[in-house]
Amino acid sequence: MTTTAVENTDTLTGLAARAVGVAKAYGTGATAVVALDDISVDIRRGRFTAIMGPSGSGKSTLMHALAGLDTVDSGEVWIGETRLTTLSDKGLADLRRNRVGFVFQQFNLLPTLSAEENITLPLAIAKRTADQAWFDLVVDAVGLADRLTHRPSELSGGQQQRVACARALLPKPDVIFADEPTGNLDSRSGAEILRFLRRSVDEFNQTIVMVTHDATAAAYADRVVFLQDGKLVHDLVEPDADEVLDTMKTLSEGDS
Amino acid sequence: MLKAALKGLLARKLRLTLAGFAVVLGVMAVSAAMITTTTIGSGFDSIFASTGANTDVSVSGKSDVDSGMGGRAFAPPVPASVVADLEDVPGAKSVRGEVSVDGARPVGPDGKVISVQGPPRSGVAWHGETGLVRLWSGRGPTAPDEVAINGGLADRGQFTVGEKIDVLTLAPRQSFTIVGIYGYSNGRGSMGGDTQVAFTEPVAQKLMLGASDVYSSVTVTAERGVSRSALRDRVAAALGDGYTVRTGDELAASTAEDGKAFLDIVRMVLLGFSGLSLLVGIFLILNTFSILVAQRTGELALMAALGARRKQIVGSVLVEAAIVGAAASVVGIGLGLGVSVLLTMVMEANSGASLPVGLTVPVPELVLAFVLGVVVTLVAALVPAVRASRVPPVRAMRASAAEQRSLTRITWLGAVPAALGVAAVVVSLADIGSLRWVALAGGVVLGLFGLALLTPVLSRSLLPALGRVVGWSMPSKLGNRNAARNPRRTAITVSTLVITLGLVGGVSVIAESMRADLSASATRDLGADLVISGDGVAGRAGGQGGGPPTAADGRIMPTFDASVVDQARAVPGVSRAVAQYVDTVRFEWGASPAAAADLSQLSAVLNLSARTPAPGSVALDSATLSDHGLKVGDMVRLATQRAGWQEFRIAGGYEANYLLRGPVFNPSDVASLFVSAAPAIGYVQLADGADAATVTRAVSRLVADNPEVSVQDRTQLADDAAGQISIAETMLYVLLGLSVVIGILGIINTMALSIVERTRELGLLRAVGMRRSHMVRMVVTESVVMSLFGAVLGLAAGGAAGVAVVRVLGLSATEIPWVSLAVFLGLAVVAGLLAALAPSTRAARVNVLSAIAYE
Ligand SMILES: Nc1ncnc2c1ncn2[C@@H]1O[C@H](COP(=O)(O)OP(=O)(O)O)[C@@H](O)[C@H]1O
Ligand SMILES: [Mg+2]
Repeated sequence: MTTTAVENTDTLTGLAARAVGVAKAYGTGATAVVALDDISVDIRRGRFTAIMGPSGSGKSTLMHALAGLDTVDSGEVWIGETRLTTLSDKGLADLRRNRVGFVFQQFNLLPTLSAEENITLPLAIAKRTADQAWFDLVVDAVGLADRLTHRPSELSGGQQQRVACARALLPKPDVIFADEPTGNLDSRSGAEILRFLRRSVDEFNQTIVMVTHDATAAAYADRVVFLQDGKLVHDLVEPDADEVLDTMKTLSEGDS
Repeated sequence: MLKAALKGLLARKLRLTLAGFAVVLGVMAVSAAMITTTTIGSGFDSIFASTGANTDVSVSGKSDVDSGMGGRAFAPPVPASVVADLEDVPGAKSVRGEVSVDGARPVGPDGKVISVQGPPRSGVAWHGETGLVRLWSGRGPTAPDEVAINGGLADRGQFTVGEKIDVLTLAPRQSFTIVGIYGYSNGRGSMGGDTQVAFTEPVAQKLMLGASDVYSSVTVTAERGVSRSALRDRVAAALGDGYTVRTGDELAASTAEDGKAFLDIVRMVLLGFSGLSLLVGIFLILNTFSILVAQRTGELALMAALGARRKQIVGSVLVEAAIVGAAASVVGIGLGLGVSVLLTMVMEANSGASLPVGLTVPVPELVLAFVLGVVVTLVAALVPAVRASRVPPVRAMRASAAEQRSLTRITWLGAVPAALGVAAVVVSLADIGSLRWVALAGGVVLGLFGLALLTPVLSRSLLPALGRVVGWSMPSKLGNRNAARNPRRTAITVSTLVITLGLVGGVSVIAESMRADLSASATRDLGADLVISGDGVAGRAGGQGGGPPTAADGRIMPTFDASVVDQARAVPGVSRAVAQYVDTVRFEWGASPAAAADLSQLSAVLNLSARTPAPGSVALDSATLSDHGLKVGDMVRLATQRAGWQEFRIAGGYEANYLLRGPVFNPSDVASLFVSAAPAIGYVQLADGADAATVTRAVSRLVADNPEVSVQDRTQLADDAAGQISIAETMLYVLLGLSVVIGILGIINTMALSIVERTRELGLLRAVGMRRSHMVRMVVTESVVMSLFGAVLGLAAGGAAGVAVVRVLGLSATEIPWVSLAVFLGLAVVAGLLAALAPSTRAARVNVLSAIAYE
């Protein structure tokens, strides 16, 4: 059915990020793998968007493209009013530092820095300092006030992910990208992270894009887009976990 | 297991290459030392083998004054009567007196003395085309003002038959006509690079031996059927104890040995460098394998979990090490061959020795060098290998970040020897007699040992401070944290720099203090305004050069005509002029500088008070008197170069100073006791109000024809003396510069390995917005902070040891050369920058995606 998911209820200025006809393949010739196949997607400001799909469907590739971590073969990628596809390496680095936040599945933190230093790292690189009230608010929201001087090796996996979330949120980026942020956590710690992300969107008006293959996690989002074989195959708005699961099922049945 | 090890090796080519590089350098230096010295040595042997062919037995005077410093000692001449005595020895066919002595210094066309490094500049008596000698052109000398010269000298000075040549000998400069040029029966114009001037026999005796009717040696040929050794024993029996009697073969061997003496220095330098490289190689390999093993913790734990036994795991690491060691040694030997070719060429060009071409390759030594390279590598890999085998299987599940081991134990292990070492050094500063040096040496060794073990814990406290100096920005901060991350690794990485800069720091403090001390003593002890002497002679007359007083080349003492001093005395504006004769003597307890002078006059210019001893007696410095329980009026036995062992009455004492030490004879004894009857030093004092420049010019004119001698004022003399130290210091720095290169290699190695280890972190940093330039700055900071740390530690420890040495030496001043130390620190920063070049580029190129990718 439809391969585009442009919500026409909003103008372009309400978009935090967008991909237009993005395609990417790995390798050449017979062994080429098409990771992204002409994908267009809009990410609206202040919304929590989840990207779902089976393993190998291109979720991470899409996220990397949107975040300026990877190049694309064709199409355009925008963060706000900035077109990434023409930026230099230095421009991309500055963009990542100031306008994009990241939470990866694991290895999010520098072992030589304390939790506090990790949180303020992007600001420190940019030689900026955080507003103290905002810093306190963020730290309080992730519940790390008493762990700030600890090194990552002294923190649990869940705490480490919360530090990563705080780091992503602190510079108030245009978008936070999270690639399976709960993938390595037990369900309780995972739920804490997801509640925090949800709260960032609701209270701080933060835009978040989260890659996941977990229906429960996806249910925290305002909108879920589904990928399959590098194509955008479905778009759900404000779904609950059952709806997501059903869609997943339908898609994999349609696949077989 | 072997297959797994080989696969591992290929995967880590680059890193292992870096580690193997130090082994390559070490083996290269060892094999170059062996090949070069063997090649040149066998060249000399083959040249000199022919010299023994025409001599069955050689008789020469036995030197009683062996300075113990090597080189050719002056042998007392053999009286002509010995020739007659030997004619009666049964089996002797012919007996001939020879004159052949080092010390005929020809003046070249540029007006300077022709100097050769190593081989002698002989003056000989002409005996016609006998034995080895073959005339190439002209004829032999027949008149006192005629000479023949060898082809080597003719080449160097571009001399032809019919030209004039000036020669300096025991007598002042004299002019001769060249009537012939000769070579040797082996077709060469020079024996291993020597120069020869052949005079008529009486002239040779006068100029080279300082007397008539004497020879430097007597050659005996054997009758048919009499063996050389039998004849030697008979000759020895006939002459008694006072002579050295050798067969022609023994003579040839010892001449070749003399010719090869300089090879020992070459060998020592190369082997010293090699030792340093291999030592550092051990550290590098230890570090590399430690890091490689740490990276492979998971893999090794898996092997252990799958049932591999400890021995097998140790074995697999050691097999890797053996292969690296073998490869590095082979490359090192190959490079050593190349270096030898170059070195041999350079040395031949310098000495004009024209050795037989081709390399002599000493196979057993090279096998040894190979084994050495492999063993060093294996030893260095042993610790990480054993550690690898102890990895518990559960570790396989954990992240591979290098684990932090507690520093408590190593700190205690280091604190004890460090404290003992410091205590010993402090004790050595107190006046405890000859034990001071033992305490100092022991203290320094213990202190170094302690320092090595304390380096990790010191890195914890020092690195943050240094980091703050280097930079405040976030990338700098990260680099600084990385440097402090693994204290043990940092300690090993900087160890070469610590050792090198420790030596540099110590040497610079000692040298600076010695220079200050020398200048102070020279100015304090010298009352004269001008000094006439050969290059460096005055500076060594008091034995301060470490050995007996000789000219700068260590063999020939430049002298000048005694009349120069008398003429100087007559120059208007001169109030006093004194001549000092210089030589070396031997007491029963060892060698000592000796002088002869009108001591009452000399005292006035050297700020002493002493009276001139009567002929046949000596004045001795009070230190020698008290050290050996002597007093004025006693008899003392000593050997002079010309007269051998004799007893002298001690006529008086004086306080030794910088310019005068040891026995002082009456000037009238010089001709019979000293090698040279001409003065080596002249002191000139100006009258009040005399114009120094005018007088200096007038005195300089007096020695204008003597290219070896010059006139210096007091400051020049002090600088000259200090200059000797600077030369030695510079040579040492050049050698140490090489080890800094290896130190840089060590840092590159560690940095490169760390960067591979931290790929994920680097990717993360790029993801959160570090620019490439930030990455470079981070890595550069890490490298610079580490090298600064090593330099600060080394310079501080070395400087402190240097100060202790200066105090124990009892120098008058302790000078810390702050400027030089700052320069060395600056060089350490440069070294750090250089070391960061490749690793920082690599860090900047880290691909974000592959770095953050997880299975
Ligand atoms: N670096 C790469 N080289 C080659 N193929 C890749 C690379 N990265 C991803 N792919 C392929 O691209 C497709 C999409 O991968 P990815 O975006 O990681 O999927 P997901 O995150 O949905 O599991 C997969 O088929 C994967 O094998
Ligand atoms: Mg993925």
